[in-house]
Amino acid sequence: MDNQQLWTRFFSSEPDRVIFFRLGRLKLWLARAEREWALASEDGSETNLHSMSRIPMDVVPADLKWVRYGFRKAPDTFKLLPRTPDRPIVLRPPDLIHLPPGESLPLCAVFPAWVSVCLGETGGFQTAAVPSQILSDTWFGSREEGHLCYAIEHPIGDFESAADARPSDIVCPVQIENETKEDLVFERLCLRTSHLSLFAGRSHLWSTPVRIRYTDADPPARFEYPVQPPVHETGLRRIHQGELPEEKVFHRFVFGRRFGADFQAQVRK
Amino acid sequence: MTAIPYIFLADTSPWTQFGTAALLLGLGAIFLGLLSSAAKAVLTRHVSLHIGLVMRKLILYVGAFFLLVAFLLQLGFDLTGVLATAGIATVAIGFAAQTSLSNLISGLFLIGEKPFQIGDLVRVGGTLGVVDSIDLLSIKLRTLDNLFVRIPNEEMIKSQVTTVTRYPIRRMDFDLKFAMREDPETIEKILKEVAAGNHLVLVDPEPLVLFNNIQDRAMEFRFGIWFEKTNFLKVRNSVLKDLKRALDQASIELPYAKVALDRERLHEKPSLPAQEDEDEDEDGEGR
Repeated sequence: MDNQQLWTRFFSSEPDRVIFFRLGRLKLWLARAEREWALASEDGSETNLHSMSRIPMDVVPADLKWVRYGFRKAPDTFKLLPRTPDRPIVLRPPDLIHLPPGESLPLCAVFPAWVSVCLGETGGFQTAAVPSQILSDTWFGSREEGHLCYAIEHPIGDFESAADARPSDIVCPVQIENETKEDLVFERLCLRTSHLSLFAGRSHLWSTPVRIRYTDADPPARFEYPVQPPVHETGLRRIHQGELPEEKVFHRFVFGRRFGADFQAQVRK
Repeated sequence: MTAIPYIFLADTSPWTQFGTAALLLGLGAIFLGLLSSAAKAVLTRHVSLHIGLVMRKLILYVGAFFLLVAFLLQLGFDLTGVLATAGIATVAIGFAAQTSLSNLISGLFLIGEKPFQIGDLVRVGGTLGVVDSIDLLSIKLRTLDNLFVRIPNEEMIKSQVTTVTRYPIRRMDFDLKFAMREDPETIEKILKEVAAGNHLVLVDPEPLVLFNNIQDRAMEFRFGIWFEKTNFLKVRNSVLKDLKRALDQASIELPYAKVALDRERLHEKPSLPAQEDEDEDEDGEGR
């Protein structure tokens, strides 16, 4: 089963059989009865394994915490839906990156997807999403105010890092452009993943790219979320639509004030 | 002839007067209730819950006073004498209600200063509790073991108040001592690994590992980890368990007081220092 099938195909379920998914570190169990579905998940050890199997009830660990969903008649098909993390993520390069005036830098961020289950045909009930890998909390902002975010284990880097991406990982192209007349020293940025749409590629997931323009305006950083799929792979299938960023809805000033602090960099004269 | 305390001034029947007054009171009470609720809702949304609650009570108390006056006037009572007496009564009440007035004024200062909000965890003296309400005369706290504590505003203004949940993130410090034979570099590495391995510990700001002191033949370290304020209990429990596990795995012992015994001298009688100019009784014991 390739990556696109994993995220686009409908699976059927039989009563008294549990479907067990291994998606990297995430272990996911799904069970169906006449009038209910039950889901359980656990964080396992690091592995590149991505598989699906049908197992009898008696081999399921007894200490799992199940979440149950009741129906008049439980649907017999389901689909896995990848989602972006439920909080922004902080991306930082392994070392400070200097960007001379007028230059741009294409980078690549790899982070784990969250997984939800759609019970029933398209438009059916969607369960709460669980992380395919538990990420550490981090803070973006000052000690008086800021945002609770996730820290990812891999620093943002070039596209070679995408080669190690797992099927449940999202690869996000990020382009930083220095439109000032000074040397820009990129420290870190806060990526609001809810604005990203997701696509299923051959070996992993892709998101819509992010463009960050660093200008002389106040605030200096402008985030843009193009709706086109990334050009780094052909034949991508869109499987999740991101939320529209607020700057398309509200006045530019609100956007600037809200998102301008998502990018931390120094400007060297 | 006994003086009638109040004079009916209106030229209508008493039942009509009473009915009108009752209607005025009823409609007035409904209007007052709606106005105070609306003020609370608007102020809560645009300012804070604290201000909303205070304004609601202010509107109710002041409105109730004027409603009562209107009710009595409608009934035909002459309040001139009452108002004249009120001026003298005010002075008397002022002396008697000094503490309440002080609390009221302190309450206004607290409203302006906003050192905390409803829902904040605060420490006042030895009391730690969640702010349940901020009223004109006092603050009400609910302690973590569910006790109700009322603190007059005057005391709040005079005391040191620590708002534990003022900022969104906090640092939890652990002061640890290690035996002198342990390697401080290894200890530092273990502490950083404990912080990195717990997903509730914030990666940024970075955890603090400080070799603080050497005292009482032990190395003192301060280990500070940052966390989101609502995760206090989970972080405390999990980090302490992780610390214990990591120290056990590395066979690192926390120091404790030890006493060394010299077996050869164990049975010797201790020699007492010589005593000067002491009178002895027949048994040879001093006084």
